[in-house]
Amino acid sequence: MYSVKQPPKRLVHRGSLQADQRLQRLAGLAISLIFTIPIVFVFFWMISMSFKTQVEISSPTPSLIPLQPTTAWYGDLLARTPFARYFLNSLIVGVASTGLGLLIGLPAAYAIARWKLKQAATIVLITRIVPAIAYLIPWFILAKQLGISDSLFLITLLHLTVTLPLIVWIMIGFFEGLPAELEQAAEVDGCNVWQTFFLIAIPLVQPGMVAAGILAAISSWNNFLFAAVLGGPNSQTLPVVIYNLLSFEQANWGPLAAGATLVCLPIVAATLFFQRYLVEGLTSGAVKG
Amino acid sequence: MPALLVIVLVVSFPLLYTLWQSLTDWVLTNPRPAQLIGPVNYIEAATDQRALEALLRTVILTGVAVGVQMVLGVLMALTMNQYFSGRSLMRTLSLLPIVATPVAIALVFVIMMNPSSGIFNAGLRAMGLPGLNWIYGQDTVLPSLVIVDTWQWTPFVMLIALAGLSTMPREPYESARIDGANAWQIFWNITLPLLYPTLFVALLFRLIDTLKLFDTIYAMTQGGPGTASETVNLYLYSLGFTYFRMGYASSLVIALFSLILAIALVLIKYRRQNVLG
Amino acid sequence: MKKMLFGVVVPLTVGLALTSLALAQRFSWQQRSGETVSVLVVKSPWSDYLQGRVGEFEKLTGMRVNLSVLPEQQSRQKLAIDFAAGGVTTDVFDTSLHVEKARFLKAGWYEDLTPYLANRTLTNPNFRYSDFFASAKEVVKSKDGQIVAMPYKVDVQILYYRKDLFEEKNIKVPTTMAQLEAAAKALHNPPRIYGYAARGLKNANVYTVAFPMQYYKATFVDSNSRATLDSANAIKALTWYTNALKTYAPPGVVSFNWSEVLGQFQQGTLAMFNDGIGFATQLEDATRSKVAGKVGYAILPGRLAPTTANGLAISPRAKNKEAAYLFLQWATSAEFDKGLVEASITAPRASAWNTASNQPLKTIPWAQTYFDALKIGKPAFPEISAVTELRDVFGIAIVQTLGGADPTQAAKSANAQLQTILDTTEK
Repeated sequence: MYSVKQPPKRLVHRGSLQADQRLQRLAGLAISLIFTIPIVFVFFWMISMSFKTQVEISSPTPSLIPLQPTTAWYGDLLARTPFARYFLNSLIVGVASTGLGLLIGLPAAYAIARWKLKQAATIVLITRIVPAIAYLIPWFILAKQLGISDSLFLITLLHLTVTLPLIVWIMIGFFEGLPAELEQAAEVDGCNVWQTFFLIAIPLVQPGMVAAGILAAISSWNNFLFAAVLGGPNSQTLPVVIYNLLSFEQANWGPLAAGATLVCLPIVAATLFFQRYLVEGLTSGAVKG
Repeated sequence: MPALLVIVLVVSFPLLYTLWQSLTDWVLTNPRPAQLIGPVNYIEAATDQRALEALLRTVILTGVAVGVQMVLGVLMALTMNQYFSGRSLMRTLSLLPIVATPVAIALVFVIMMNPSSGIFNAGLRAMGLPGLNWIYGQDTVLPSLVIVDTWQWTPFVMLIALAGLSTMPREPYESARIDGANAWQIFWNITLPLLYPTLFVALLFRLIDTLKLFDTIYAMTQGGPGTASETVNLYLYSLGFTYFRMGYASSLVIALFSLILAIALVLIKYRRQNVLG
Repeated sequence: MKKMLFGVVVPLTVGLALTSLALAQRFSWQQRSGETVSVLVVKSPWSDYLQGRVGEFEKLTGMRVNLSVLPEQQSRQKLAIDFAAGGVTTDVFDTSLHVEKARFLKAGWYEDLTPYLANRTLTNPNFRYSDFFASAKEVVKSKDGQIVAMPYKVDVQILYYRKDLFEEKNIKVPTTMAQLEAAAKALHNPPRIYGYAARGLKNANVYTVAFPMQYYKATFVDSNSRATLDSANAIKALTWYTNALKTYAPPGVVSFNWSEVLGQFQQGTLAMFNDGIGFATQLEDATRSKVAGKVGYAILPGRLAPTTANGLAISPRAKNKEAAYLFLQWATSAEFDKGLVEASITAPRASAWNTASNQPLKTIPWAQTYFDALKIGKPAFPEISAVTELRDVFGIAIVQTLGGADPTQAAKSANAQLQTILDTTEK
């Protein structure tokens, strides 16, 4: 269903018998299950726990499926924490930091790809190396100077330090993949650099933009540290709220599992919907050499 | 171009600020202003046993976790590269750990690894084995974190390796088969070398991210029990925000940054010389 | 003209002066109407109660409260960063006096409240500072007589035990360590019942090890800032504590904070534990606790009660200190504290316990123990800057000993580390 560019070439012997083939296919499925069962199980357990009653949760012999399913933890969570508001916060920050990241990142990636700025590409890589903690105090001071402490704007800017390099990194790969003749032709026709960028390059890398955008949005959604340390009552995001549940609830697994499920839900949905782009984004830059 | 400037500013300002701090004796709770004291903090770090232990732990955790992920990731990619019914579903499912919120996943593992009510120990007991303390045991906490990190990031390695496999040329395989090579020889002598450039990218990213892993450890153990899972990142975090020793903590930030940068540069250089050069 | 001006202006000025004088002496909750106070507190039953009532304060004063409720660690970090960067985003903060007082005083992070208390415009005549428990007034005072915070909680460590199990086996409430161990041994029947538990988690565990430390007359630090973690008595305490946990506590105790210990007890799988009395409310809550009504509350063996205290402080860099002070005053007022006791939460005012409508001494099962413990309580931690470092270093020694290390070795190594730290922090 998804594959990178084209279906992989078959490497098995062409003349194999049909029965042989079927056996091979079953074997492939069986081996792949070794990998996917543990993956699925963690999600399954998270969801299962979130619907169990306290008695079932603390039982020393856990049951796989809730015997008396309850939605009480979800109700509890939504009633006691302004979950909807934090959800909205996360959404706003995710969309804004992705949008801004694309706005600034696309021209940057284009320039790096087109004029082969190797140094610039290395700088982008370095942003990934800087421990996030190094950002905390300088940004806090900056936020106070600008009067934007405890605002979604601040968190958006902070997340931009994650989304922007990611977008640039992925988009370099896509812009490099464009045939140079197209741009040269455009310039012969009298387009300036910006016109070439907007009219020729951008429409051609739209799949890349979706890939970069969706990955950036997910990394913003998942980011914990920035909002945990620099967010306030008006700018808390979901991962922080979920983490706080652990300290507030401690051994109370029901609300924790319900919270974790609610945070992961939008991402799982987005993954299923955009999986082809996701794969392209995640593997961008890996196969060109 | 302005975008590049933004990136440079965003990166260099905090780094330079941290570098400057690392040369001061800034302690938050000292009423007097911080003074420049030169490389004193770095000298302390070199003799601070807790810092050195944290460094060792960071290197071991990263080495083991990334090693396991690379091997499993390649095996997983080889499997997913075969044709079989349900393949696309299997591939889709393998994507989920990469994108799932690390803090949420950490909490789910906390639940599963609970020694008395967790499913892991229930499973062990069902097989007639004694339960483990998982993240609550000094000897089991690092392996437990390796499990969590491996669960979350093996699919990433798989994905990149899969992308590499899909662009493999066919000729070497055909000539190898004519020469009568077996499956293992083909994998070892053809597939793997052809995959190296791709795997390199996965390795680089995994090393960088695991060396500075924070969210998962912070959410699951906060460096405990005792200091049994305290990595450099966790230690410098408590230095700064619980002991308020900003100057000293900054020196560890710079040290960690330099370490990761050095590893990344060495890897990149090695790759240029040996794989492409 | 001049005369007329004189005739009008003088009475006017005098009149104004008189009115403002009269106003100056009258307290009004509305005096800072329209201002905003940012308040940072640690999540606890107390903060839950506060959260429920903060609207009343806004109505009463016409002020707005920006309330952040965070887990302890995060709230510390937030405060640290705030002060690191100059500090104005928080006006009122929650301070663990037993951990932070010496350090924050040195750093100048506490606004001295003495002048505010003396100011009759700012302080409600009904506030009655004298109403606070003696121990509360003691703990908020600095050595040079400043008042650094308004106390909102004074907690004492007690022994929680299962009355029903004790009766079943005909065991008396222990008054010595030997009796405590004997009781633990008699009741220990894993995995159904564990005999005894306490915090094992690094740092947190030093609060509960304060009990054996005080029992064996050991100190963490002497009066000259010399670490004394490796004294014979301290090693005795460490050995007792870790042996008891290794023998009688549930698996994984090394990572138990109060919440895990409490969780075990609530599930009915634990016979005894020592911790702060503030958790009693959660044990008596039948919706969360299987053991509600079956819990006994006793003074710790050796008649000990390690105490801790929390208060609300004002940041010296706050923009609107008067408004912040009004909030402090309201959240520690006699009326507020009475409400706390009615909600079965401890409050540090004597009047709150007398006037509360639920007659706490008769109806709250742990109230009498609380009062008895207050009389004999001694601080759980020494008054030094490096309490957090002490708790980490000694906490790690406890964890190591639980993991099988030799207590003497662990104590020696912790002592050396602590001394290095004290040499720089206690100058």
